[in-house]
Amino acid sequence: MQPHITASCAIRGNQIFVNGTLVYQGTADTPDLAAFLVAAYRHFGLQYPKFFKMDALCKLAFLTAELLLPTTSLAARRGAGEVGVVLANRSSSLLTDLVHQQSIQEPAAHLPSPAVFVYTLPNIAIGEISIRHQLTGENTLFVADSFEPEALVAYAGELLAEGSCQACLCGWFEAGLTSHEAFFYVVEVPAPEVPARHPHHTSAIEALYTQPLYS
Amino acid sequence: MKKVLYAASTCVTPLGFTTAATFEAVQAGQTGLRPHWFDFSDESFAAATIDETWLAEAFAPLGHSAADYSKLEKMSILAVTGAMSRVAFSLTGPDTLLVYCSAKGNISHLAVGGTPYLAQLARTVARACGFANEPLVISNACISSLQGLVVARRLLKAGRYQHAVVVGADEVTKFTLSGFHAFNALSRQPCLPFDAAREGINLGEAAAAMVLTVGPVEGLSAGAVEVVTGFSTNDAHHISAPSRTGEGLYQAVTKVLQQAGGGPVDFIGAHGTATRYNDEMEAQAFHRAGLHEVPLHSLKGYFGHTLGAAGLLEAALGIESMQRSELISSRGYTTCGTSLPVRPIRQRAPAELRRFLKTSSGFGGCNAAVLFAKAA
Repeated sequence: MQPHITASCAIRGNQIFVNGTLVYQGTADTPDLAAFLVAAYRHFGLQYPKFFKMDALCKLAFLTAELLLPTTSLAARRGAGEVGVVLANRSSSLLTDLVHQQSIQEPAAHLPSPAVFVYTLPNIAIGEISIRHQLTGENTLFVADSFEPEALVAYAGELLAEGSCQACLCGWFEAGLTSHEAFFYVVEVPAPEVPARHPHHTSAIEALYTQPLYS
Repeated sequence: MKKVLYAASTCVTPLGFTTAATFEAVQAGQTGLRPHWFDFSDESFAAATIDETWLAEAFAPLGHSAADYSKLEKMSILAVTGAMSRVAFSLTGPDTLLVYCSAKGNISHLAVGGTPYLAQLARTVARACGFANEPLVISNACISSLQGLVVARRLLKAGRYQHAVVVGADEVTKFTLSGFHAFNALSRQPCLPFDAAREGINLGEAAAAMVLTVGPVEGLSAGAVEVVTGFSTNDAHHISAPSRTGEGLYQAVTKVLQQAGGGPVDFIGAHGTATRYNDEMEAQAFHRAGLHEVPLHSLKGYFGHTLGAAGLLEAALGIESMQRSELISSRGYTTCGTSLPVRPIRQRAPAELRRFLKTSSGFGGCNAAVLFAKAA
């Protein structure tokens, strides 16, 4: 059976969508990204204290995965290296890079923090998600100007085709100077009782990606 | 099944601007590590940097305007151009993929108000070198360029391209040095991978480019090197500390050996950063995989830790080692410093080398392993 996309989750502006349905809307008093993500974390009653140590980019990725993965069969596949994680982003870890740079900019006020520095890599988000959900399979972080599914489809498709993973968490997450966005989806060969949702094709992913805009 | 073959490489390092020159300097016992001073400390740090004047001299004949490119871009363009010039086939058509790998790219631009984007850096290099396709960019911390090889091998095997050029590049910056210093992970003296007296890492800078091909290509002999297989894994354990049991690396190595159908490994190009925890983790993983008697080296004593460039740089030199049938010693090692012993190579020596395992591990819990073998 061909792999299909079985679920998706998107965070745009102060809205969160699961499978295209609006599940959370931030309020006007959550103006910045981190505050919005913390408010959403509390709204969903999540219990994971490490969340508060994460930078905004990791909070964004973590929350997207947290709301997405329970709607899939990934929990049954994890732990055996059978779930891959293939994500892409634009600004890498720019927001935290700027915080670290600020702490070293003036030699007279040199005070870098290891707790900040560790988040100056975009793939730390993959690490946070992997720790939370015990995902131990293939992991790749692509960087691109914008969300272009072709590379994700090509690579995740090959991982599934060669049997290197049974399911793959894929998508785009971005926390830049002026905007943020996350769009994750799960591609897997669904169990027979699970209705196949969307084919693992670029056009289907693009349709899912734009869908929440019109909800 | 299509075989993915190694066709050529170029390493741009403090020890030379070709793979051959770098290899020969290493075998002559040279190291790129020197004391460097940064503005936040009166004490020096050992680091391996590329001389700007030397780089400018090598870059000038390429015909690009030097002022248009950063140091990292010059290093990258020099490496890619060098590797492209070493193959008889064209790499500028739509059948060639460029995979650009870096942990931090032009991060030094932040200090002067710039906003570095990795995709922009990769495109700059791709355009300067004449690639038709948009580059694929990978930023997976310290496994970046070895993961680039893993990804390129898969896409070639799937028939999506005939050739791929994988490049890994990172430079020594105050940004990364001050961060590792804050982590207490730096050694001020030249690093001592796997040694009892090891105190931490040195940073280094390099660009390395490797051409891979599945095309029917003339000029590749029976002794050609195949990129047999490669996998990455995640420890799912900690974002900055390696797994104490080496679980993720063990899994990556095991998957590689299983898919390769067993058989001996003649030497391992270890990650060997010379931190307490990393080298111990690797020793655990190699023991669990039954590879603890296999000769291994870390090349960090020659180049420091070149971050995203390390995997590909060390793979290229390992392949050179296979092709010249000559082991590279693990510089800085004298006394076993891991709770389970491994076998660091103590001196340059001739050896028949048919199968080479390269591994890397990085922040975020990521690990990668790639097996290279001489085609029968």
